[in-house]
Order: sequence, then structure tokens, then C-alpha cells
Amino acid sequence: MPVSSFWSSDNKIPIGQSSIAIPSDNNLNQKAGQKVTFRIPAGTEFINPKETYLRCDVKIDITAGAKTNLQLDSDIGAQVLIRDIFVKTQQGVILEEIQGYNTLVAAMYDYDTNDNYRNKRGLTEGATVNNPLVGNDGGCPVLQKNDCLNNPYFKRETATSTTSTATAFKTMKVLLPLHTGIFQNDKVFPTMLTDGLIVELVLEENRRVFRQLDTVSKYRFAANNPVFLNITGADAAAAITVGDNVSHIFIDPSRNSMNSLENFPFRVGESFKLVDTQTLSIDNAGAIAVEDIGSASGVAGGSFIITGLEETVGTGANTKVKVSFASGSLSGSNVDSDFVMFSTACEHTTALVANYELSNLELIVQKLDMPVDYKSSLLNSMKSGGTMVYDFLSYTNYRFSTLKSESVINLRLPLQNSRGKAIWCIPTDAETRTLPANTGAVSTYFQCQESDGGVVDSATATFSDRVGLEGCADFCQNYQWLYDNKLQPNRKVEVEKTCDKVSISQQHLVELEKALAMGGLECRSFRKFNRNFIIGRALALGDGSYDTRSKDFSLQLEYTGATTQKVNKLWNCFCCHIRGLQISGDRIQVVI
Amino acid sequence: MSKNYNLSISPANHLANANVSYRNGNPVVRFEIGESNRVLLPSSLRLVGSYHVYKDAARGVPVEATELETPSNLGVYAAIDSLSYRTQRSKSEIETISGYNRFMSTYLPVTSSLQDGIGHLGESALVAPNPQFNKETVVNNASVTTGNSFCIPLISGFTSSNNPYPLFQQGVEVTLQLSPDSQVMFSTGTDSSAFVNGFYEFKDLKLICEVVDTGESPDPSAPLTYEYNSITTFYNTINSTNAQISLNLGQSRVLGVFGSFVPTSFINNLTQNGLATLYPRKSATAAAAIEQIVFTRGGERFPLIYNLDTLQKTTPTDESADPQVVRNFMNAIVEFSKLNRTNASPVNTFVETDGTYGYKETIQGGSAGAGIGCAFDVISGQGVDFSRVPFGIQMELDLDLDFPNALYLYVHAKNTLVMSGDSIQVLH
Repeated sequence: MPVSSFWSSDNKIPIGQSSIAIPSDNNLNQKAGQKVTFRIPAGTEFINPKETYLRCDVKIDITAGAKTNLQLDSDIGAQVLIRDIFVKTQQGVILEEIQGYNTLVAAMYDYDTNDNYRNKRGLTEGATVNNPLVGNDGGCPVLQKNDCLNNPYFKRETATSTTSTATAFKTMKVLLPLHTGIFQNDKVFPTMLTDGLIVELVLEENRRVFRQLDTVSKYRFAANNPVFLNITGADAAAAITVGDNVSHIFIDPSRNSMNSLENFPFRVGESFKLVDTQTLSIDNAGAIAVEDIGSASGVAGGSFIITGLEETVGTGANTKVKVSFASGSLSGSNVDSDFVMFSTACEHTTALVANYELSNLELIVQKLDMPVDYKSSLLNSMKSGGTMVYDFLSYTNYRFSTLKSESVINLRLPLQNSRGKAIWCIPTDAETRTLPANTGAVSTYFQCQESDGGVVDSATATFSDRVGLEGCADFCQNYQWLYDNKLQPNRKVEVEKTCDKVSISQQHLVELEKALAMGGLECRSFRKFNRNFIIGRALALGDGSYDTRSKDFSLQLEYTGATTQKVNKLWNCFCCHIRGLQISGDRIQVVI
Repeated sequence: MSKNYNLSISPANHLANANVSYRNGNPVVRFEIGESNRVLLPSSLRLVGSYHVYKDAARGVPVEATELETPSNLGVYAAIDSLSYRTQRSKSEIETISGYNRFMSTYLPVTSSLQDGIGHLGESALVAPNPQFNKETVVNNASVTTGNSFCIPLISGFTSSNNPYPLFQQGVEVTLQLSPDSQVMFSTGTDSSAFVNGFYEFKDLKLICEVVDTGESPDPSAPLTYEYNSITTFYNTINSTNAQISLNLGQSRVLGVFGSFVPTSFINNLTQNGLATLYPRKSATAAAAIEQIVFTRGGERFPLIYNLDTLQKTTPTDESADPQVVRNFMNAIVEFSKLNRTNASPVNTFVETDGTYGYKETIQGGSAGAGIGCAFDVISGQGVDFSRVPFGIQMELDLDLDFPNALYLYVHAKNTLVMSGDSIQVLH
């Protein structure tokens, strides 16, 4: 509906605005692990930081292993590619430094989100949204990684029959707002007083950024995968038994919208097996207790390799997808209509090797032409010994490692922020995982599964494919903060229900909402309360702040439940604080 | 002490049977809010009535087999071709939005969410987020007597400015020009034979509004200024691979320009949705992808001091909408970073993924975020002076066939109404 700002008519000083594109320092294509530098010249004089964003083209490629459709993170899109970010003056004074930038953005986007924000991020930042045209009926949450029709990273299959083993990756253009204090500030930034700005980005490793579609994975909502129909092409389901010679299978068109080739998420060249979703049993700690797999005999790894895909009516009346592969006999389990295909591209004998490349990197900066009177008045004030103070909300990451063998942990945080607002502690998975394991969520940290009337449904189990980005609840029982020589709150905050993945521990969420709000976030969604587990604490309320310097600041955690931790952790503890720049003459001081 | 009054105003030119339709020769509806010692709250203006869709001249109710539908994403707004506000006595134009339904089809999807469409917009404006839902509830409504009741705010600069309008200076005349039936109705497929004589009709139209008696004796001769934002429409056609558009906007405080495309052959066509917001096309089923856009002011690039090259420049077959084009378009309507309600998403905003029957199968109302535009002022609200220099758009696109596309451009500008006694002046 009408937005008031569109129509409101206010009287303010007219300010000229124009956008300029600043190419990266070396103007080259960039790959994982490299550093990208942009220099905003002092000649811009004043910029609107909130209208400044990174523009670049992203292309994914697979150089070894089985073919599969890959994309970047569905929630934060291409923001996942930025590991660290630095904002400096031309003289090298660091104004802001955020390590684990993509972890911070994951926290922001997971909790400050709704359909509208997901849509906006999908249109501009390379995130993906649920596509109802390939909707799933497996009884799972709405999936954001199900789109094989309008996916920005790979092309839609337009043929009705294909044997091409080429990947379908395409170039994606992204526009990334920079979630740092300066670049999310509403206030005009005087680049003329800092002699310009340097923005440095360190790009993330390949192994952390790629994702498979949720509709091909055994480890994520398997019930949404293509369902086996038969090998005859008839409309009715029919089972096959171990030892049967098979060279193709047909997919049930009435399940999970797999009624056409363009809706089908697998590619020619992709390896797969079949798993029974009815007998699949995964325990609460992520151990797979039962899995009945239909596989190929006589093939290393036992995977079928797709050689052709075809949209056909077969011997029946309904259009269905026919999946062809090298002829062989079925081994493992008999396969019936309870079985779904799942990709083994990330568990294949030839390891998946994928990479990304960024090109046409530009920082789009909105330059402001302030009135001459304003500029001369500002410069006169500076010349006569005045000091300009520029405050903004920023984030400092205090990292801390813990082992899964520890049951009681005391995280001592050496906070040095004079105007602290809140702290967000995100216990990310620090296990050493390979690119295929991260990409396909192969036995990674187990997040949760749906329960249907108390009966746990393993077909909707979810392993994390965002290793290093999201917090692991991992059977924590309670926590308590210690600062100002006091335990805060004065009772332990129980998180047992959330972390044991059985229900919701509510006090934790109240604490978290306060912390997120004080950190400048509008909490629009708690959908990921247990999938991106964060322990938060508001250090002040309203416009207040808290001086954390010289305080013994620690977080006490107990993992003393029946189940021990499953993963080692890297705690990313983001202290949200007000940071100030004091600019006087040719001197710039950063007040932390 | 002030006191509020609610007014219910009947059309000044209505027929005895209170029915209004384009087909039956009365496409203009005029309401007059008379002079009084009160002030009008423009934001309270609502058009109220009932809306009926018929498949033939005998007022037959459409059924599924009629294959008749209306733009589900617009509801009643689809039927308003232009909206105009004038002072009652001197007939000075306060604001006129030509192509009002087209403006709404460009503006509404960007600024309303799916939940808005399912919720209050569905109830009040007969907007339906699902075309089939629209057909079964609004179009194929067998309740001929009651029809579909509606109550819509007349979204415009004049009504959305929060300043009260002094009726003691002059009254306000509100004029609606209804849209041709062939622009409102179209076929779900390719056959319109079952409703060639179909039409839509309004019954019992009223304008309701709120006025305030301030309790003071106003002095009509005292000078008064009234600031508001307004929309001005410009219509262009493009039919080449290098579209050059140059316009003298005649406005001194332009905040932004945005627009949307539709093939000219779709306009007033019973087999096509003439209000669909589509990226340019070179045939009914093929896209003419935009490869580069440059906005100019007096011949110089402005406000983007770089060429906006799209994804399709290097990959013509790429179906994804270019993020920079989408962002600038939406930013021209509402500052993108502050936009928190929108229907535009990657699922409904793309260059081309037609079904068997073309765009209607996948996106009946067109792409929600399809358009071009740029904001000139997102900070001060004072705009940029285009009163003496032309505004230009230079666009390279793949329009290599003879298939003209219409570009409806909307200029969002700030205006001032100066009233003093009988003298009224609008400063653009």
C-alpha cells in the first residue's frame, strides 16, 4: 500500500545527489581468498553511505567431480563471499574492521527477515527464495533452496530431453550493501575530511560458500526430493527388487512438483542413489541409525550416474521425468514409492571441486553536493580548531575457540568498547570440513527435524550446510554472564529445550531479542532460533551504552546434559558498540 | 473547538439509475466537494460503490468457460483511466494523473506486499494475489444485485499530503475518467469471443471524506500555500534497438522518474492484459532485452554517472532481471533501503519465462518489479530542477523487430499550491 515517504513533502536543504562507480584497485577478476580494495577519493567530498553498495558479477564453476547444481547461500546470497572487511582512511587509520563479516550478516539476515526482505535480497544480493512453481509436498518448512526455474546461478532447463553433461552455471550480478557501521549509517559521511576512504574486502574460501539445492539432498529435507515411481513408465507405482537390471527410472510427477524437466533439480552427469524416507532414521544427535539405500552394483561408490533426462509420458498418460543411466543391477535395498533420489555428488569417489570468480567489481557510491555555505562553514570551523565528531554503530568480533569435550566453559571476553550496546555470541562449527561436505551438508552439524505428533520425522531432518556461518545449539543446557562482578541475569538462563532440539526455551529468546534490538537489528523473524543459535545480551537499553573497558567480562556455559557436544566451536562474539571519529585539522582519532 | 464531519457525496453527473459504465456512454464521474467554512482532510477521500463484470450486453455473468478475467493485481484501480483534482470555481488543476490504472500497476506491486494483497487490499480494493481467485470471486460473481462492494483510497499526491485543504478558499472537484472495457478485461487464453460485448459497471458510486470544522472564522483572503507531491504522466513508444527519449518535464523539483513497458499491441486488446508491466518485447512471446540504460539531464549522464550495462548485454539469453535496473526502478518509487513491503521477487520479476500461452501463464499481471527509473533525491526531498533542461533516457535493447513498445513514464515531483482570495496558482 501507499508508502508515506513517497508522498510526504518536507522542507529541507536541497542536496545534489549523483552515483559514481569506483572500480577495484587492480580492476581484475578475483577468486577465493584474495583481497579486493576500493578507494573512495577525497574529491567526492560527501557521500551518502547507506546508498553505497558493492556491485560485481559472480560465476560458479565445477572443475572436478560429478555435476550438480550449485548456488551461494540462500539467505545471505553473495554476502557469504566476504569474510573480513576493513574500512580505513587514506593514511591507513582503521575506522572499522569486522572479521567474520559473513557470520555477522548471517545473524542479521536470519533474524531481520520476512517475505519482503527475502524478496529484496533475492532480487539484488543473490539470495534465493522459495519458488512455489516447484513447490514441495514432503511436509517440510518452506524451502529457499528449491528454485531451479529462476535460480540466478544456473540456467533453467528448457529442453524436454537432454544428454548434455555441461554445467548450466551463468553469471549473476549482485548489489551488496555493506553492513558496517559507516556504510549503514543514515548520516552523511565527510570523505573530504578523512582524505577519502579505503574499503578492503577479504574473500571467503571456496569450501564455505557453495550450497546444493535442498531438493537433491539426503541430509536436508529428504522428503522433498524426486520420488521413485517405476521403471516401466506406467502411471502407477511399481517396485523393483535387488538384482533387477535397471537402465532408467521414472519419477512420480504427482509428488514435489517433479512433473517436468525444468522442475527437475538433478543434472546429467550427477551421481545419485535412492533412499527410503519411511525407514530413514536419524537420532537427535545426528547419527543415521537406519537408511535403506538403493544403489548400483559393480560401480565404485555404488552411485548411478545420470546419462540422460527426458520428459515423457512413458507407457502411461501422465507426463513424467525419465532418468537414464548406465545399465546395471540394483543392490542394497528393494526400491518402491517410498524411495527418493538423493545426490551423491558431494560423496562421490571423485571429490567435487568448485570455485567462484568475481568480475566487474565496482563500488557504487552516492556522492552528495552539499550547499557551498555548508561546506565553507564546516571548513572554517575545522580551521579554527573545531572538532567534528561522527558516531556510528559498529561491531567488533572477539573470537574464542572451545572443544566439544568440554562440559563447563568460561568464555572470557576482553571487551574494550567504551560505548557497548549489546553482545551477540555465535557458536559456529569449527570442525575441519571439506568443500563437498560443507556443500552437501554431508554429516555436518545436525540441526533439527520436524516431529509429527511426537513422532520424529527423519525425512525432514536438517544438517547444516552453512558451516561457520550459523550458531550450533549443540546440547547447551544453560548460560550466565558475569560482568560488573555480578552474575547477569542473576539466575542461569536455561536453553536446554532449544539446544536439545525438543522445544523452545523462551527466556533465551527474550534475552536475544533485546540484544539484537540494541545491536541495531529489527527482529522480524525467529524462524531460525535453533538453526542459527545465538546467545545475546543487551548491555544497555534505549539510547544508553555501557563501558566495557577494564571489566572482567565472561560467559559461563554448561554442556552438562545427557548428550555431549558434537562439534568443536569457534565463538564469534560480536560486541555492538558506538564508535566515534573525532576529526580535527589533519588528525583523525577513532574512539572505540 | 474543532469537530469532524463525515461527508458522503454522490456524483454530480450521475444517471437516474446510479449505474456508471464506459460502455453505456458515461465514462466520466465527477464529484464536487463544495465550499464551506471547513477544511478537508484529503487523505480521508474514499471512492465507494459496487463493481460488476458482465460477459455481454445483457449483463450475463461470466463463468469459467467465458475465459474472462481482469487484472487481479489491481482490482478496482484497473477501471480508472485518469484521476483529476481541480478547484471548484476556477477549475485550476491541482493534480491530474493520466493513465492512472497504469500508474497503479507500476506503483502498487512495488509498495504492497503479498500479505497486503491477501488482506486489506483484497477486502477494500478487490485486489487478488491469485488470478484464479480473482476470477472466481470478483469476475464470475453471480450476485448481480450486490456485485462486489469496494472502498478505495484515491492514491495521489493531493490526497496523500497530510496537509488539510481549506475549503473556505475554494471547493474541490474530483473527476474520474473510466477506462475502456477492452483495457480492463482480457482473455485467460487467446479466445475472447465469449465476451466481445462484455463490460464492467459501477453502481451506487459515492465519494466519502472527512472535513473538520475548526471552530474558527477563516479569512478567505489570507494567502495560503499548500505543498504536495504529484505524479505527471508521459507516454512514449519505442521501436528500435536504440531508444532515445527526451522530455521537457517542466518541473523544478523532480524527485524521481519511473516507468513501465507494455507492447502497444496489448493495449485495449481483449486477448492481452494491457496493464501488465512487462520488460520490452519484440513479439508477443519473445523479450527484447534491455542491454544498457543511461539517464541524462541536459544531455549529461545524471544521476548515475556511469553506463548501466545489464546482464543481457553479455548474455542475451539470461532470463534473470538485472539487479541494478530493478533496484534503481524500485528506488525511484521508495528508497530501496527503506522499502519494507513489496511484491517484487525473483519468482515474479524476470525478463522472460513464458508458458505455453505467453506471460499470462506465469505472471498474469506482468513482472512486479519490471520497470526502469531513477531517484534524483532521496535525502532532502527538494528534488532537481528540470524546468529548463530536458530529461533523457538512452536505452540499448534487442528490439530488432517491428513491435512497438509503450513506455509510460511517471514523474514524481514536488508542487506548491498558492491560494489568495480568488487567485490560485500551482507552482511546479
